[in-house]
Amino acid sequence: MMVTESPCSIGEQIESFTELTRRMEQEIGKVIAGQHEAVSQVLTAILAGGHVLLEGVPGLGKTALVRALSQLMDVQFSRIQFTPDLMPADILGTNIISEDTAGRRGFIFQPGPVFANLVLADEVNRATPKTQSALLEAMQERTVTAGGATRTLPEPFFVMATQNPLEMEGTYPLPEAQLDRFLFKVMVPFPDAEVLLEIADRTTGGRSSVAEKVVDGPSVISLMQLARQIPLAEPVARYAVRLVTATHPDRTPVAAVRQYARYGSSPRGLQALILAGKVTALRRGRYNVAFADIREVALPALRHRLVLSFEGEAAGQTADSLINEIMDQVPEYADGGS
Amino acid sequence: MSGLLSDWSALRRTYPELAEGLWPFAARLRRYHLLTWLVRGGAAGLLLAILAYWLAWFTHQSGPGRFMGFAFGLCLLGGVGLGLWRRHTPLAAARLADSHGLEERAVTALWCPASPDFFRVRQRRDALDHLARIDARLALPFRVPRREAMVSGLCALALLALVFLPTPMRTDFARQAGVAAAIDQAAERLKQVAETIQRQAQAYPQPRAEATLATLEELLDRLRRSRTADEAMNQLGLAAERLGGLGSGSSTLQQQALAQVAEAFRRTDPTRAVGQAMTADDWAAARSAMKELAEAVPEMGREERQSLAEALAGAADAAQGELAGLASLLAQAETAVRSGSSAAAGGALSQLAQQLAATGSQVAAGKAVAAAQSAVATAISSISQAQSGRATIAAGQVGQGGNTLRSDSGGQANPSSGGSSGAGQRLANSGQGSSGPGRTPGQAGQPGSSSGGASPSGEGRLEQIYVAERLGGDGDASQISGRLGEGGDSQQVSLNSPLGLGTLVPYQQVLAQYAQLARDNLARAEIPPALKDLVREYFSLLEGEGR
Repeated sequence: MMVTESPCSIGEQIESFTELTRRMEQEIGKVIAGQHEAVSQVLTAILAGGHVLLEGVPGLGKTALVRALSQLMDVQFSRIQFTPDLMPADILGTNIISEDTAGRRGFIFQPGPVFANLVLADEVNRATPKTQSALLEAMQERTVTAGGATRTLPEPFFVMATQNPLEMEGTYPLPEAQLDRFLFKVMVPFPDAEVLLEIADRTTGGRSSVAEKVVDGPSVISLMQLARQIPLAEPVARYAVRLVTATHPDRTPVAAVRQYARYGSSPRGLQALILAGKVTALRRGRYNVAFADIREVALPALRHRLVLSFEGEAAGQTADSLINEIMDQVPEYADGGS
Repeated sequence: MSGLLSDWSALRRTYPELAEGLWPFAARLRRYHLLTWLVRGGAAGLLLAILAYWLAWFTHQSGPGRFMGFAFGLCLLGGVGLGLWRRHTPLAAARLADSHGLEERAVTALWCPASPDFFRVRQRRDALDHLARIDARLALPFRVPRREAMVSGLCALALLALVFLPTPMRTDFARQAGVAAAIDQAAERLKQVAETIQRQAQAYPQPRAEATLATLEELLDRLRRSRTADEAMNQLGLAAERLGGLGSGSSTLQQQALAQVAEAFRRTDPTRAVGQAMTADDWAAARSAMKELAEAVPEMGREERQSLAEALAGAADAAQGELAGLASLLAQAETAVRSGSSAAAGGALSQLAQQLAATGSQVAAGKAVAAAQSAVATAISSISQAQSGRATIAAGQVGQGGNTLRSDSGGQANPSSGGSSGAGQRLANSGQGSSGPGRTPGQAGQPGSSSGGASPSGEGRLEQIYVAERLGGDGDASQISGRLGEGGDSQQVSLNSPLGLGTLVPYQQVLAQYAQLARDNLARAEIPPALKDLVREYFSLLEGEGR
């Protein structure tokens, strides 16, 4: 069902929200075997209007996931393969000399691949920091400034970046400022045996699956706006605040964070928790955000915002383990109740 | 907004359906809270009761049950008060409901401001729908707060163990309770004696009876304020000393003689009224009756005078010996009556009336002193026995007409100074009515201890003697049959005789006799040499202190 036509009422929109997200997951499932958690988190980030950084070893379907997403969303899709020689202009676009029919020459702006609704920044850590930073303005402001003019990017605008955690030679790890722009960092794990069998069956046979289009750009924007209206009780918001505060080594009640963390999450982490929490609530057909919603999105929303200290790295700690520790120790209510 | 979170009235006004949906949770919360605080109060009460028991233990206070009960009740009441005092807000009820699968629906419905916004309205409806699906009775069944109940159970077990398991303190508590009861009983007996003396003193005032009465009343007042056995014993000792200063009681022979005089008067008509008044110890009435008789002599016939003279002669015979002064006046009155001179008879009878009243009241006062002394001695004995079932008093009898020494200690009596140990000798009872003054072959006593705080040299102070083995029951006399020496005569020795009148003596007065008895018996071969040395050292030490 295409939802290009607007629902006649908010009530219908709400009821269609769950159905749409279910169908989106279903369509992605035709292309991607397994990876349900990663798919769910990516969809949540899309509906929250955020960018996603997908991390996993090569061959796990990161790029395929984003391509499937572009197939089910009737939006403009572009893919940028990041390489060390990639220049900012290759992403943003540049002014070129053009001659009109009258023979007059002038500069016209040739938009780069970033001017799309869904941008796949494949292996984003292979480009130089200069090129990576070209995405900063686009991701945060959703505008591009080139040749002295600022141009607005199309709505909706999502950046789906992938990176490989293994091959670190010749790569440029994303700086914290840029990582912070991503709403979620989604880990794409190695699949289990059953999923591997299914991958083999799908990719070595004669058939190839393609995701059907489920939503278009305006519908996605409508769903994003809908999710933002979900009521949020103050205790739940305060719980999210306590979680974010607990990632800071100088403010946390968690001993492990004090010992192993260098920096904690920025306020963008709180925004990510609450926005993603609202989407999660709505996806479950609930009209309020629960503590469980916040906990469910805490890992993808905070793991790239919590920077480990050298001691933490040496001790084999991960951001995920610290966040789990935080969720174990921080009570839902400030008075310690639950 | 905060009103909705904390005020049920505001919530009922704004969202009556939400208030109705949350109310069962608030009721459950209140019930559980009350139960929790009740159990906590119980646990605190039990802990305080244990503390009270321990404090009573260490401070040697008797009757800890009263304090324990008070502490437990107070804490329980406090727990109930705290349980009832706390008001459970709508927010607390919403949180409780959310914890049963509502996923913050109730809290959000309560928190978000009232507005016609679609999402708010829809959210509240969703919350109400989910609230309606929860049966508070099933979701929140009655349950006891485990941690508090466990603590209470442990405290109760500890308390039961303290109270019911045998402990040395229980004996101590029982002894102190016995002491308190003995003091009360002694006070009651002394009060009865005082009332009797007061009645008699009102009829015919006598200085000794009044002094006795004053002593008893002062003793009663101090005895009621005494909190320990030692205090009571000190007061009784002082009273005994003061009563001893009033002289000994009238002798039994005097009392018997007076009774025979009364009997002689009761046999004849003219003197019957006098005899009856004497029998009733109403000496004022006896004097009046005798004066009336003196006034009636001139009107008496010959036979009546003869009868009167015979009664007077019989009375004189009865009074002869013990009541010599009265016997002399009775004889003079008889002579006067027989002479036929009404004036002489009247005068002699008037003089006799005065003497009769004086003698009678004197004997009565002696009886009062004796009764008081006996009551005091009995009180000392009972309190002493209550204080320690095996402790008794060094006893003897001092008094005019011969000092009879008597040891009622029974078994091995160890006169000892405060805090010292020593050995004693068994002494035979040579008191009144006993079978004789014989002494049983003594043996070295066992080390004893004294609970008395007085010095052995303290004039008039009484010493308590620890008796290792007291024969017989509390206060009962024990009879031991034995043979004195090889081929000696059979003897029966009375031990543990109840303490009687005037049986309390200062320690020094018995020390010499005890020491001599010990030395006499140390020659016996069956006494181990080590114990002989112990006994010698003991008495040497005491005699040294006595000097």
